[in-house]
Amino acid sequence: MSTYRDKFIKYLAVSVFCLLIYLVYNHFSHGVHSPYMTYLFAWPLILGALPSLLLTIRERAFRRHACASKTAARRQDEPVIAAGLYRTGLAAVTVSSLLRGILEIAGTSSVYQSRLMWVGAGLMVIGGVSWMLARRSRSKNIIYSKRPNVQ
Amino acid sequence: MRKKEKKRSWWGIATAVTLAAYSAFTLLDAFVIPKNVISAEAVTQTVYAGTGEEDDGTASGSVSNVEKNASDSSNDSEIVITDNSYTSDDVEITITEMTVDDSRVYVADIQLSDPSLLLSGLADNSFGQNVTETTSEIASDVGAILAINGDFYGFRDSGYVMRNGYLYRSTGGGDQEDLVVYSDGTMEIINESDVTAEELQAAGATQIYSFGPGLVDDGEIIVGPNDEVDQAMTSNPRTAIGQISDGHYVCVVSDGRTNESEGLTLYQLASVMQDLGCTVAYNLDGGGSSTMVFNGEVINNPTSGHGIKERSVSDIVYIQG
Repeated sequence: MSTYRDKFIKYLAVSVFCLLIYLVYNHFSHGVHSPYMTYLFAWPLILGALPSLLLTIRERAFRRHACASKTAARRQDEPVIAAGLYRTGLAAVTVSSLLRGILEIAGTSSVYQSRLMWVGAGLMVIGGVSWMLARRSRSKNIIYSKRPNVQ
Repeated sequence: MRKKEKKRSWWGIATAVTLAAYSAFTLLDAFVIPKNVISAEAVTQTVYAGTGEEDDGTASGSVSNVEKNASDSSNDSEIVITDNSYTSDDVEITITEMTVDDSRVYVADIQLSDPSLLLSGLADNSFGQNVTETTSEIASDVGAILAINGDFYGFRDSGYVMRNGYLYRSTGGGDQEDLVVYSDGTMEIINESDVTAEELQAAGATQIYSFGPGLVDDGEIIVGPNDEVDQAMTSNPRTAIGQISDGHYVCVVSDGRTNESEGLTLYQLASVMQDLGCTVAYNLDGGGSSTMVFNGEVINNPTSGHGIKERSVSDIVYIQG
């Protein structure tokens, strides 16, 4: 199972990839810019790598003060669907930003691009809120339960 | 544990495939798939079938009038064509080249006895998004002696579009500045937030181009030194059209994005138009679209991608030969 540190590294790699896309596209765009292309790397960096980094730090702090079994329990209790929704939303927002950059540089727009942005943002909000709620309730279970649900 | 991992990987694959397919569709929709296509020929035929005669006072009637006048005027006149000029009873065109701030600029000075000879041509003789041909192909189709690229209306889904008297699109684009050509040949720069396309039609407009911005109005430059088209903040190939006096127009195309010709900023272009004596001047689509065709030959160096090549566009502005 991947740790938050692994996720942080993956999101960082995606951010670097987005930066490379911008640099290559910028080379062929005759000096025409779009902030959605220029700052494409910021989506996975701010909304992916940064939360993962914070969770890595939190996890380490938790590990120092709690027993290993509780740490393992927290990891296994990752709300899969909520996290999946968030990741899917972030991917949609990033791809939508890339599309908008391409369209803006070409001087046009598309209703399908903006729809993708809204869908992505919606999934992120739903995923993020569900994730926090699920983590909160499961943390309570771990803290108050004498026998954590460790398989 | 494994089950969860498997679920995750399927989720990831499904997300990637869905986003890739959606992106491909969005790009095809924006750049390739023709949409909302209206045949200009059908528009004219509808007019004839509906009225039995050209002028019924509607916009569609104007289409017939404009085209009929143009074809009548071009008949039976003595024509003299050189490498850089065209002279007939109704049309005088002189092409000159100049260098402005390290940029090659092509100027077509046009004198018309009949303003209806200033016309618009559509790619594939049809209105629609992603319906494109090169400027020289459209010019050849319509028999133009001089043509420049138009406003590339097909790249946007808003902004008034009127061509040869027919109103194809009346959806405004907010604060968009348009160039209106009236039936008497007068050019005017309007703002779409101030007037509807239908009002312009009622006022006698025959052409409305929506790209912009306006460069010169009442002989004064109306763009600032740092104004640009959308996100572009650089020198570029440019296309502009302007009016000097009644029946006297000027079309300007500048090369750009090459070592030989850097390209003009909007302000530089506006200065060129003002220096040529324009009372009204307007910026049309530029960049790779900028093309000037005279007597069947492309006379500038259009840049498409990283080579000298004509880009396909939605429409042209032309003088009937």
